Amino acid sequence: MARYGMVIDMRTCVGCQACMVSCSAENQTPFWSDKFRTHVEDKERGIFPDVHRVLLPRLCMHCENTPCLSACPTGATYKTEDGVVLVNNDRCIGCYACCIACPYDARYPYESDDVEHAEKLYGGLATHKVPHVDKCSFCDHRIAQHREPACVSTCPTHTRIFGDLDDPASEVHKFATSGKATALNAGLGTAPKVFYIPS
Amino acid sequence: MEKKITRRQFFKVAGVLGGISLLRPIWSSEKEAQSTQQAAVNGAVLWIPSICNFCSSFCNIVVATQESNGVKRLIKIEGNPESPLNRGKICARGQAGLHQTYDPDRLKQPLIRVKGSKRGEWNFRAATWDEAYAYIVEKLMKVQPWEIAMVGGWTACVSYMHFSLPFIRTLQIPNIIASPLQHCVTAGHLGTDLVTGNFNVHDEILADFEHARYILFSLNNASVAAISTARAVRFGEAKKNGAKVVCLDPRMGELASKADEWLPIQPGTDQAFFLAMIHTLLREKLYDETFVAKHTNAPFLAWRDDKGPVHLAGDKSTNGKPLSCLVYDQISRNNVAVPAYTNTNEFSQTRERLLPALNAPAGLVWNGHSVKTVFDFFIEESAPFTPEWAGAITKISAETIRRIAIEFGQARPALVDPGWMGARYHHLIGQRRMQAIIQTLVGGIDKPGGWLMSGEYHHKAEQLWEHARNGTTPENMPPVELPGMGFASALLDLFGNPAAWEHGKPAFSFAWAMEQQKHGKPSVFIPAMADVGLLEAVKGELNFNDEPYHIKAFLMNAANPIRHYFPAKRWEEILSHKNVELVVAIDVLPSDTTLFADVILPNHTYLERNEPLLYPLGPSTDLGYTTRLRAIEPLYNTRDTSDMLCEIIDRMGRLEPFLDGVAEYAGLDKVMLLEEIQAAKRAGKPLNEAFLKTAYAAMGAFAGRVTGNEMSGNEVEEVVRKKGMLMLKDAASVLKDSNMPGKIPVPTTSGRLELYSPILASFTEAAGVQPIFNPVLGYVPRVVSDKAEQPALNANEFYFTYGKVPVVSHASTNSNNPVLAAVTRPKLDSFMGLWMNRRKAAVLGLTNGQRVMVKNLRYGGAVEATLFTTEMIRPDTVFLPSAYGTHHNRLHIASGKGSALNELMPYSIEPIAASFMSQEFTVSVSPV
Amino acid sequence: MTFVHQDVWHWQIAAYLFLGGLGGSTFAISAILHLFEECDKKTLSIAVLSSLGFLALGTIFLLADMLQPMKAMYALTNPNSWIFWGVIFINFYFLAAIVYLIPLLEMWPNLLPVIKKIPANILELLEKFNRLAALVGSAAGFLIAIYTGLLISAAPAISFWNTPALPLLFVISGFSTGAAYLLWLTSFSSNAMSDQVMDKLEQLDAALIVSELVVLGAYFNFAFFLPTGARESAEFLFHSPVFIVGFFIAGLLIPLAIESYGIFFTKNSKKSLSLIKTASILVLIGGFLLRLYVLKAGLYQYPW
Ligand SMILES: Nc1nc2c(c(=O)[nH]1)N[C@H]1C(S)=C(S)[C@@H](COP(=O)(O)OP(=O)(O)OC[C@H]3O[C@@H](n4cnc5c(=O)[nH]c(N)nc54)[C@H](O)[C@@H]3O)O[C@H]1N2
Ligand SMILES: Nc1nc2c(c(=O)[nH]1)N[C@H]1C(S)=C(S)[C@@H](COP(=O)(O)OP(=O)(O)OC[C@H]3O[C@@H](n4cnc5c(=O)[nH]c(N)nc54)[C@H](O)[C@@H]3O)O[C@H]1N2
Ligand code: SF4
Ligand code: SF4
Ligand code: SF4
Ligand code: SF4
Ligand code: SF4
Ligand SMILES: [Mo]
Repeated sequence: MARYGMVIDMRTCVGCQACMVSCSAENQTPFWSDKFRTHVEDKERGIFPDVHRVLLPRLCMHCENTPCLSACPTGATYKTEDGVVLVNNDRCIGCYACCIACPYDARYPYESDDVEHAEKLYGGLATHKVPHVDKCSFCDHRIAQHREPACVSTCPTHTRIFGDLDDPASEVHKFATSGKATALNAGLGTAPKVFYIPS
Repeated sequence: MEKKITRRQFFKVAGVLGGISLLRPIWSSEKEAQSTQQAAVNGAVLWIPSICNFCSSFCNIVVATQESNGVKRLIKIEGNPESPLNRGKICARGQAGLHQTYDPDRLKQPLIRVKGSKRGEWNFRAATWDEAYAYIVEKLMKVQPWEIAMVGGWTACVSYMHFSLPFIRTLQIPNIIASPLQHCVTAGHLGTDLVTGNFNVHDEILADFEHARYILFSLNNASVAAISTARAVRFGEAKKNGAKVVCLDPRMGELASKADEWLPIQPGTDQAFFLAMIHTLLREKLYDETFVAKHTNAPFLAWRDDKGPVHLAGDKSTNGKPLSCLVYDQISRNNVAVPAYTNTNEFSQTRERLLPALNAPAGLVWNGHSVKTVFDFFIEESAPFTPEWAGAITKISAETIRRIAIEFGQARPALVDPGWMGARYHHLIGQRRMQAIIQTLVGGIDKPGGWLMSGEYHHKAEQLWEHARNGTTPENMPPVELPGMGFASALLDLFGNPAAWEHGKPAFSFAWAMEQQKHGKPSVFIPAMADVGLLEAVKGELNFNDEPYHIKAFLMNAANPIRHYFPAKRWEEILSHKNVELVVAIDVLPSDTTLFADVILPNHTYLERNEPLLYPLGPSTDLGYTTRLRAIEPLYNTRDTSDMLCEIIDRMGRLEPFLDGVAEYAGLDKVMLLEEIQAAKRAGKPLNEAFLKTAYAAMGAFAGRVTGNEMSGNEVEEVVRKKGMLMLKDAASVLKDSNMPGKIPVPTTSGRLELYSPILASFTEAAGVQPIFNPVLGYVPRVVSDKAEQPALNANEFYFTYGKVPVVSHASTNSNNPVLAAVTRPKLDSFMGLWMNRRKAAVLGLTNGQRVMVKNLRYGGAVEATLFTTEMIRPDTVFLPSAYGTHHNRLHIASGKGSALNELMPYSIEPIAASFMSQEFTVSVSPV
Repeated sequence: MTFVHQDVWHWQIAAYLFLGGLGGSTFAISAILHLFEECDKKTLSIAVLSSLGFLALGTIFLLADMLQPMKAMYALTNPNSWIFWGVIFINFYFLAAIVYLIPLLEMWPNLLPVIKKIPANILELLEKFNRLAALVGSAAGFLIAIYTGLLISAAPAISFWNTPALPLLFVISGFSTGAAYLLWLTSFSSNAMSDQVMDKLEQLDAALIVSELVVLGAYFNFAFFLPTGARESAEFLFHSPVFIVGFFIAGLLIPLAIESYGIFFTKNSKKSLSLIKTASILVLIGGFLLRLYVLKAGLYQYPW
């Protein structure tokens, strides 16, 4: 049993958005409706010349205390034994309770228009066949093949680091326990498994 | 250099790419995966290695395809983890590449302009390939060879240079206009090349960020962080390793946002900053004395003549080439001649050991001239360039400049990025030369944490050095085989030399330059592959040696001059001129330029094609070769570029000599190539694969020469198919065996790193003493106004800057990509808008999102833009993202988005290489 | 830190929340009136029937807003989810309300033939459990009203919602709309008892509005306390004229004024029915606007 997690090293993110495009291709997210499983925030802070430009990649935090899961009446949202929070597309009724509950804007609806569009675009290879609420899956299908998540594997600057937080030999463990890593909105008690190294 | 075990080795895709994990995989394999993804009910996923074509970074990729209902589809692109260049990573554009192939706007069959319609309007009819070729060849046969010009973008240049050069030589066409020169690498690289001797059209320097402790950037953004993946991967590691990053940029781009210190310098003044750095490094003695004395021309003795210029001491041959140079030897306390061409000053011409002095003793005399070392002249000429002087110009405080210089000099290894796109100010070559001088002073050339030369470049330099040592001349080496400046001069010998052509006419650009010179008018020294004189030649106004020199036909491949040449109007006038009888455009999408074509030849997209040759791994320090392999069969009635060129030249009756030329340039076996081509023709197959097959065989032989292990063509192909590349030598061995200038000369005239520039000296000789040609240190201020006294800015007047955003390339058609458009939408303001300081905008009563008119106050010209107000830019500067402004409504996504940079640009060039001076004006911004 | 308006739940869900509160409370008030006071059975049966209608309509709004309404039964899977409990409450309510309603319908001669078709023993059972059904239905109605608030308060990043004050507010407002609706309904009754009932309802509604004002005060006070999303939300509401005029003034203060006037200054006989009707309708509109604007004011507080 693993405890998968990610560290995002904000010292290096250059906002290239390769992660978004890679995830979109890998997981067939509806880019045509501007919906993505991961985003890169680009915010300016301060006044010239004391300005900072904060580039903050974000995705589902795979919270250990999981508000979306509690809110989901159908059990469509579930957690694997490796702590990955997933949606069972076939069971999801699309009530959006999870979207309201998620404090990290990690979910979006894969609507019937999107399903249709995907079918046109990907033909028999389309992977989203029914409308549902979608979110980052930590690319569980890639994990199963021993491949890094799509966003991680393409990130040019090594900003995204993925692995088993419990494995002391893993890079992600080292970064997560380095003392520099923090969680977003830790006060909410969601216990995210995505950590940030501030720039 | 120590080989780092990088993370990619942890994660090699087992089975798929044939890698074996070096460390235990972080995931236990027994566990059954609960997958949200639908199981592959369709065909198995197949990965094919290839090369990205979305920008000139040339990243190695692997392309996944899968079959569904009998149709093979592209499903994913990833970085090739085998690649030492991009290390398994690719940027957003690289990831989005699939959508180019599936773009409904694509060019799907040959098109011929409908009779009676005008260039500039979209009025085409579908044609067969035969019709299209017949049309083209008929027109080509009607004009003189010199009346034809080829126009190529970087795709044409990188992949088909070995075709276009033999093509023009065979047909006696002396004209190539290459787009990434005038507005990119000529100015971008020539300056550093004057010191290091590089220059192979593309960049051969890889800055080794990850081993540097201090990194200084000036005028960089897309070249590193926004984004060239090979550089971004190294930059990311540098940040993790704790390197200090300083960034000079008037606005906070992606790269500047990652800097430890962002210095919002006033645009166009970086040269002053660097001069002050040199001033400080020299005075604080923060240079690598041993390296500078041993491997540069700093210890060479030189003298100043009465008119001002500094000359090197030493004997010269009758044609002006130096036979020897002199140093002051601290052992014998004498002036001693050192070899004119070698990598080190440790030995005299007679092989005695020397200790050359960096500072000459007072009163030293040679041939009646009082001489000093080049280094002494640097100290002398840098005296006025104090940090205080630079502070006033750059608007960065003198203390900061001094502190940065000292920090830089004390931190080893320290690195100043060589820079990439340069065509902005007429002094840019000089500015980049300062960067190379600083890098040389701290000894950071071909050393970890410094500037590394590419593997292929080392190889070429080694070959040349072998020739030099054997006393043979490399005359029979094709120019593309020559490293650096050798290549540059071979090109000059071709394009600038009337005698190189049967008809006695050089390229129109050189013809124009020579005529200008003859008539005492402003001219250009090396207008290689530039568009100077083109408009005149089209209009019938250019004469060469009293004979008219006209241009009447254009063959354009992967070029979009209507959008990325400066200015747009000039190219609109050229291409639509009545004297022009033929315009051919080879492209994949209906770019704004295709509007002006008579015939459009649709190319396969890069994922649908093999390339005909093997190519070095970009600027990678490892020696390896790669190519593009077809991932899916072409979807439409499109063709390969090599096939198009072959067909045209075949119909002109010159196929065989052309093939001989290709074989010579690309080092292929002539007999084999001819046989393969004939076999392909008999079988009615495309010729492209015949080239590739021959290239595999040639590579097998080449591998034998490099590694001692000869391979068959099939073996090479197998490795390339499996790994995407054939690696012949790793970076560590390259740097060890052929270190430049540690072991072998750099390809400058002297083989040393040239602090003193003989090339600039020759310009001085030709054009007289001017700071821009000063072979020691010249300061050339930016000129934004025609008034002698540069006036202060008016209230709504700004310095103009522009640059690239991470998700599109130049003015390329990849702005038509739907995913790239989607990831742009949340950032429309900063990615497409005109950046203006927020408080400054408030003073002008302008607000974010407002439409404004940007007017060029020096040259005229204007463009509309949407305002992006931000604190991330100097109040006296505006910045325009440079990639947008497509007009053609057949590009359904890109059309009408953003502002066309080149509608604001003047035609304004600098005197060395005709590079564009694209920021030397100011603009006014007012509401529309 | 960024505040972003939630863009998930719109007027359909506002309608669902409103109708849930209205339906639940209408049943609870009328059943309790029936149990402990004298009242007009006919009006009562209409009240109960309409409470069923409100909840059915509300459920349709909810289902219509879903991506896969046909799979709604799956919602009975996770007891940690408020929607799960919502479904349970609504089902209990429907069951109890129907049990309670059928015997009441005997008041309507036209319906007698239909009712007679129900086997006698079943009818007997229904009569027997009538009081129990009233109690269970009232409890379920109350729970539905409070559930509408709990549902949206389970949003950790929407601090304006993530407070126990919200279910309280919704339940009070829900009962106020229920009382107002019954007031309006009763005003049509010519029955002798109706004046008395109206008095009671008027007092009840006025009391509820006063409590709502108290809770609102506390709620906004809390919201303004910290520079969080809640403050932004409160500020958003203060700057929404429809909320201020439509809900606060027209939906609370004016009905309260009318009702107070009725309670303190007029005798039964002199009461103006049209004023009462106006007050009731204003309360109902206000109740819907409250939910709509609370949804609109839902601001996620994101950490970037
Ligand atoms: N406005 C503006 N102009 C610029 C720049 C800028 O940023 N903005 N940047 C400058 C710089 S740095 C450079 S290097 C140059 C680069 O200029 P170019 O080297 O010309 O590069 P692109 O603009 O990317 O592409 C030119 C054309 O190639 C086509 N093309 C793409 N793929 C293929 C293919 O596979 N086959 C064929 N046949 N055609 C293809 C595209 O559709 C497009 O029409 O532009 C310079 N000019
Ligand atoms: N996304 C993307 N990446 C690319 C390419 C692409 O088209 N798109 N093309 C590739 C190619 S061919 C090239 S040439 C490179 C180009 O890459 P770079 O050479 O890095 O050029 P830009 O990113 O256009 O501009 C760099 C920065 O210079 C700043 N600047 C402008 N004027 C001045 C000045 O006077 N002084 C200083 N210090 N800074 C100034 C601008 O604000 C901008 O942030 O990018 C490569 N990578
Ligand atoms: S790919 Fe990496 S560097 Fe690029 S935006 Fe995403 S996280 Fe940042
Ligand atoms: S981030 Fe949101 S979607 Fe992801 S586990 Fe946490 S609450 Fe659920
Ligand atoms: S939308 Fe789907 S996943 Fe979300 S709570 Fe409802 S049923 Fe669960
Ligand atoms: S882990 Fe996979 S699903 Fe999640 S954001 Fe990254 S690529 Fe997308
Ligand atoms: S940097 Fe990006 S666009 Fe350029 S070659 Fe590499 S992956 Fe392709
Ligand atoms: Mo470039």
